[in-house]
Amino acid sequence: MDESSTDVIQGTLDMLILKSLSLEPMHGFGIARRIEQISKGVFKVNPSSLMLAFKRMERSGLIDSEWRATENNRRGKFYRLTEQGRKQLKAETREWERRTSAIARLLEA
Amino acid sequence: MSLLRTITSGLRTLFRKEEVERELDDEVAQYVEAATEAHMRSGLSRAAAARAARIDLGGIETTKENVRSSGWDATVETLFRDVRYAARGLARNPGFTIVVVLTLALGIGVNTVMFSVVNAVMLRPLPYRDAGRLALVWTDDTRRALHAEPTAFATIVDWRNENRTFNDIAFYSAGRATLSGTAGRERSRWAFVSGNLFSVLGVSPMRGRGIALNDETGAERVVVISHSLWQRRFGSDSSVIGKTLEVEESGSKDGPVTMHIIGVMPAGFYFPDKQTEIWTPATTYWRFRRESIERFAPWARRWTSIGRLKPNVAVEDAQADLARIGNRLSATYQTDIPDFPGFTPNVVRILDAVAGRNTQSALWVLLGAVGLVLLVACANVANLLLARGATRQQEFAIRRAIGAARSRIVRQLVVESMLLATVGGAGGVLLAVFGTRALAVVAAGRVPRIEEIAMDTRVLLFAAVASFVAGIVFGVVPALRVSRTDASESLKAGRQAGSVHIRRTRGLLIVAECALAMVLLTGAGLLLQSLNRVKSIAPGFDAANVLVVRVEFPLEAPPAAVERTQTSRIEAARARGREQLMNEMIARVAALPGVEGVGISDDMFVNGQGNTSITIPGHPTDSLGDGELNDGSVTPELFSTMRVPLRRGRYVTRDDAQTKIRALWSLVITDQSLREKEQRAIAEPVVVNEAFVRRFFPAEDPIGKRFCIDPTNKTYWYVIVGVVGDMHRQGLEKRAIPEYFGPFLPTPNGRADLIVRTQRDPVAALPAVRRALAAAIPNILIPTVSTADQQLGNFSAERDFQTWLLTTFATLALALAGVGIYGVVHYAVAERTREIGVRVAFGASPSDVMRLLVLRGMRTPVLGIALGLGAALGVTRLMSHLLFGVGAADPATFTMVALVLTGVSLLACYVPARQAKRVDPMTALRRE
Repeated sequence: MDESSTDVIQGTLDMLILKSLSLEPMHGFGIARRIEQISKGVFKVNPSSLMLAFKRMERSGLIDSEWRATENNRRGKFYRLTEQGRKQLKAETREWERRTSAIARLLEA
Repeated sequence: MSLLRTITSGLRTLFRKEEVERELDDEVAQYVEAATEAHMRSGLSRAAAARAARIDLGGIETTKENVRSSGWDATVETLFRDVRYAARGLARNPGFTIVVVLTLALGIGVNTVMFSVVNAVMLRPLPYRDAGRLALVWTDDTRRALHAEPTAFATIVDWRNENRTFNDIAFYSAGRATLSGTAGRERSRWAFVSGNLFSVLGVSPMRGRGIALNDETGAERVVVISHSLWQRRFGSDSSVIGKTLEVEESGSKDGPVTMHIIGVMPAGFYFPDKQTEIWTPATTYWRFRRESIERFAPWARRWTSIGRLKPNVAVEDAQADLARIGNRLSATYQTDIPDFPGFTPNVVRILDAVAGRNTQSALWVLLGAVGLVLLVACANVANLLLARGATRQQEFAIRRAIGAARSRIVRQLVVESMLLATVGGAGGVLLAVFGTRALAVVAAGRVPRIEEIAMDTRVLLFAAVASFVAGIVFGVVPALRVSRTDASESLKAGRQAGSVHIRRTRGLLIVAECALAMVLLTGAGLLLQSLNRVKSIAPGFDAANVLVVRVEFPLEAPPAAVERTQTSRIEAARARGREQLMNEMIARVAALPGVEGVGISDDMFVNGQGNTSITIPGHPTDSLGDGELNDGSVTPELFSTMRVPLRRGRYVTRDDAQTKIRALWSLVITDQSLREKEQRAIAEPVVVNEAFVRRFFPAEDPIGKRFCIDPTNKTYWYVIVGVVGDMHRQGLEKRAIPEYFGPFLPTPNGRADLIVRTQRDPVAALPAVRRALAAAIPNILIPTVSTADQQLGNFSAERDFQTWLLTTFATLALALAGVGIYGVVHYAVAERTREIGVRVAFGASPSDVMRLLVLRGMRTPVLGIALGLGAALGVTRLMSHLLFGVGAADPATFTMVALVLTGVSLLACYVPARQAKRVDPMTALRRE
């Protein structure tokens, strides 16, 4: 795995997971896949960090999990966004946009 | 919300481990499966896809471990594992574990006991609401250094009305009461209280009601009784309210008064002392009205005030406030009564009144001392941990070499220490349970409130905190030291190395232990010296085999109605009759087998108050300080029974008793000069002691001289007929003060001490004495019985207690230090076996080696003793108020203590060093 450039930092990983789940509930690999795809391969998610994040976020009440059948009729753990998670996503998105516009202004100045 | 989730999720992980583990497995497996399929979709074969998926994951076990070790449950899990591991390790070394646990249990136990004493005496609140806000108010006699003088009702009323610092002020006066009636005649104590006392104290009875303001003017006389009285005399009768109690009022000529019970106080309540069982309104006291208008006469000044301070008011503010009122009163009212103390108040917190400042500070000193003992115990345990750690250094070095963080090892060692501290603490609590019980018995009567000692929550909390702190103190340093070593050095050197750091730390600990032990031993030594000095003072009488029977003569019926002028003649006749009866009683007791002498004293061990002024014609008027002049009355044989030597003149006789009767009931002459009164008055013959002569007649023969005491009543004179030796009647610590003794005359309801000298055990003669007394005077009461030895002992009871306690602590510290030194030298011998072998092989004799080891071993104790000497010089100053006859820097004591500690250290070095003699150089050299 390429450590140097594209490792996602913990704070943003949470936000990316929330965003991925905002569309529909998914299992772990699916979330990793979606993040990779939408970022066009810029962000490659470390599965270990991902699973740690799942545990953490579930305990904070941002996501819920349940065991369901996957596409291949296998047992899989699906995560979905809670109401609190939805609010958190909105808040984090706002915060992120605020930060990036500030940095952009700094870089332009 | 998330907190709940965190907790439940963590709990689930702890208690449903297999289920959670399976889920984790499944999730990871599913991830791998999904990744494999994704790779297959992009064209790889199943096998290649599976491999790629695994590489993506980055190691299944690592991932699982990462997830597993996150969350609070993982920390708890690790903690449990560490505890189990530590417990197993300790169980494998039972010798080490037992020694450590015992040492800790001893240290923590002794601290817990001492704290429970402090708790009972000073911290636990008194049985009143918000007792910290209560303060006693006395009159302060600054001229004579008497700080707890009672006050007149009129003055208290002024304090109450004009103060700005109290919510309310109440007053009371406690005294003896004799209960009579169908349940039998019995001695007790009762208190006359103002109507607002119960509300000032903030207490209410458990049955019925307390005394209220309208009881002060009510028609019937009411009382509130204590729980113990209710149990004893009324059998805990639930319908006791409304029942009556009969009480004989002392001083009143009437018979017993019938009083109605309106309330019963709860168990555990006491005011103003533990013996008072009855409370009744002050206004119903039979002389109250007559006394309430007086401010200056001594017989009107009998009340003690107690007030509830307003919130946020300090005692000093209240003092200033009442002093201001006192100044106004001084300006407004004057008197020429010379022994009127003035209007200056003395405001004292109630706790300081119950357990005096001296007692409190002594207890803090003892608590500090026992803390030092715990420190010594911790030093020993730390030493043992270091020694044990030294042998495990290789194990730790290996663990660190394969990747364990230093913090992990430190954490494990700290867990081990905490485990030891917890077990030691539990053992300490167990020891303390027995210790407190033993102490309550031993120290009863020597320390105020000691009977309230108990292992309550505060004490248990203290034990827990002490264990925790001890665990940190002895655990952290060894943990850091042991885990610090350079890994490669330990791996190379092997088992026996033991780093320099560890050895040095152990040495430092020994220095500390010896210094602390030195301080404690010095303190104990000084107290022992003081006790010795006190006990070596000759009491001035022979206290062995002397029975002291406190008696109370019965009330007499009031005289039949007679003309006024005849009263004094009748009273004189009655007094003669009583004197005759008393002498018959004495004769009966003297005739008993085994009795060598009998006498009566009004107050043998001076539990009452002294006089404060004396007038001797031809001498300037002398005003005396507190307890500087005592009076007493005795029967003719008292001094010879107590073996007090006669220095000049003669003892008092029965004829003198008759003279006294005449003097007491002779006509009162008022309008004559001092000279004339002196010449015409019948003087009571008295015997004085040597201190009296030294003070008032240093250069002349006192025999035949006259003096009087009460300046307002200058018709009552005394004449000196003899001089006896000084007696230490108030304990050996107080110097003998001037005293004079007249003939004893029994009075109705009066108290006295019957002194009986027996050939053998005085207590064995008691039943016969009781029978003789009852036969002579049927209604006589015997409230207490003791021996002269016991009475003398009571005066030094508190000093005995403090000395014994500190000596125990010091001995503990000495033993612990000795054990610590032994351990270090023992270890050094084992460590240096090879070196010893080399020396012996090169020609050193075994005694040379032993001497070397002892000298090496003594280096740290000697340093510790020297440091301790310096520290002790500073510390003992804190306890100088507890010493008697010996200075806080007494060289003899310091030298003795240093020698003792050096001796013990030498012994502790010598015993293990002897082992060195047996070292066979061949086996020693071969060992490595």
